[in-house]
Amino acid sequence: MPSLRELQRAFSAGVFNELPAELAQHIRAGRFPGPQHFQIYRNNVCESLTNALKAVYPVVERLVGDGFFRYAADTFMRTHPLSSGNLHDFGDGFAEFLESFPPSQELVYLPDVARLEWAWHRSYHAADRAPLALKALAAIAPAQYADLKFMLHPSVQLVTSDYPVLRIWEVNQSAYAGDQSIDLGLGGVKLLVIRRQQVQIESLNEADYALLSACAAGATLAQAAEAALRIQSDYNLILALHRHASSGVFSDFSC
Amino acid sequence: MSTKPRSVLLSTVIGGLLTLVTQSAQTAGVVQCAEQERCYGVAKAGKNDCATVSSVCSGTAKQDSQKDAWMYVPKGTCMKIAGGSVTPPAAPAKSKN
Amino acid sequence: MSDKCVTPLPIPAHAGIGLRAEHYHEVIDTLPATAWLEVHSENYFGAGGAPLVYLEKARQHYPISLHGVGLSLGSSDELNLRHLQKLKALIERIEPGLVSEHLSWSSVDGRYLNDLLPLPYTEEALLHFTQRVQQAQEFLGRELLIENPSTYLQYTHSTIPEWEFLTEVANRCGCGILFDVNNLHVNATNHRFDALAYLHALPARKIREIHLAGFTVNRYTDGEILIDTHNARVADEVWALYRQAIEKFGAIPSLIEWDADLPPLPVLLDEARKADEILENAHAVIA
Repeated sequence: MPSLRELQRAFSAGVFNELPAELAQHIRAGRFPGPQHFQIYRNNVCESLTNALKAVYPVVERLVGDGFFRYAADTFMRTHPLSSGNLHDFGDGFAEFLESFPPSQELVYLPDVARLEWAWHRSYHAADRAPLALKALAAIAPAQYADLKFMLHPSVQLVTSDYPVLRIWEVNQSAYAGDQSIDLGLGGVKLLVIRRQQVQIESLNEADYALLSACAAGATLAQAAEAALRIQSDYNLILALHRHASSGVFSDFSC
Repeated sequence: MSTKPRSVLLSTVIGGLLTLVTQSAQTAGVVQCAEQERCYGVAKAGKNDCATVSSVCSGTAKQDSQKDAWMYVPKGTCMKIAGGSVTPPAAPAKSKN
Repeated sequence: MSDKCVTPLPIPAHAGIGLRAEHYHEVIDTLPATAWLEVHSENYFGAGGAPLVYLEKARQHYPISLHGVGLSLGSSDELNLRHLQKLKALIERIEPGLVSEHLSWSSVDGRYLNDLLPLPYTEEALLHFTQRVQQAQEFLGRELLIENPSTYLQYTHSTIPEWEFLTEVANRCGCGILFDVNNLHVNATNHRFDALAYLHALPARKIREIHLAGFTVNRYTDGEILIDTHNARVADEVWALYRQAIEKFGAIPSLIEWDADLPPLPVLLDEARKADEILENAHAVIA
């Protein structure tokens, strides 16, 4: 008789690989032979993990179709064990998986589309936080300005791609009814994903992206400003910070 | 040496920001919504349900041997993406297949 | 925000419905006549955003029951304290009337299968499960309800009938029982045992909640099996079993559980009305 631990390990192995003989002999034949009873669990685990992945990556699914998505999901779930009892955590790393998944190598933009969808998903479940009120800056002594850091709102995700992934994303929304064709020659994008009431995706220019990604990486405001000015020497920092703060991109500052 | 111009820049920036905030106090702020719950739109379904899915998952029964050749070929809307389903445009960092 | 919860509300001995995302707006806008609502705890484990906003709005008008699907109490791993901490935070935020989990496991060696997997009903598993429930209850500082699961296989080395296993867990841990009538029907049919004998062996004083749901019959050339799909109305056989349960246990909070192919809200309310009619008879008998 297997211990509880032995049984559970054999069960897990049987779901993701082959049903081990030592487990098979402990499954009672009922309406069907034991292995067929076990098959119900194999199907259910596979199906529910696939559906969870589809729910996070609907655009990837539309791009590749149901059959291919299932094949990718099937491989992904075997190689990327979920370490949480919350299915909303499943799907982390799918973009990187697609990057090295041989059958999708020709769809060069696919990993970035997945990255955008994961960013959307994380933004949707991110913490609530009031946007930064800029007038609080009045309380800071000028001597502290050098250490000042702006923190991005918890729902903000930054995505960069060499491909027009926002256009790809928009065209593959179920409500989209316009021109379906996409020209990869449109080039790359820098994107801001943010949840105001709903999750929104916006294009950023290179300098804005440099500024915000520096803030995201923990840079001081001075360093972030320098990063933006390196991209665009006439970057209007005051207007840019005001615009981002007014649209809820920052939630806190520290110094 | 290098810190001086930076702090000068920052005091200008923060001074400018505070001026802007005072000027635009009426309009500043994130979009307000009269009926807040409406702003959330259609909520995504939670994925943690406790139903057993009754359908058969094509991948599990015999693993790789059961995979049909057609599954290796994407058959979705990616067919409509032109200009480089094979060759990445202007992406020197990525290796071509 | 003004969405602060009022004082904890107990779950009344009437019918409630499962609250799913597709019905958030309608429930909050129309406040349908249902005595209470139940949600799946893990769907609200996110740090913020729409799900919690809607749940807090619902909580302003209804008692809420939290039903967990991912704690994996039967796992031979250490109890997942991160998961438990999230559940505790949600309990503090929502102040639910009841908190429940399953007589099952779903992870091993830190890998989650996200399914309610069957335990062998052995002395070892009983001791283990009992300890885990006690540990979880201590951590949460409150009573848990444990639900009888639907199962699609039986182990040859199980020595304890499921009803006895569940009763022992409840007695040893001081936890309550969430009696899923549909699961009993599914199991009794699939494993060919007498559902009524099981029902009558359950300890009435431990039953705190009842679940009702629909199942699917999967037919194959060599036989058929019932699957607990939560995608249909409650079957006649399950209503019959439910009447027996209410007769024996008295009026117990009863939930219409529907997860897949979700129907319009009125269908759920209609199912809840049927349960309430049966509960009314029990209330009348007691009066």
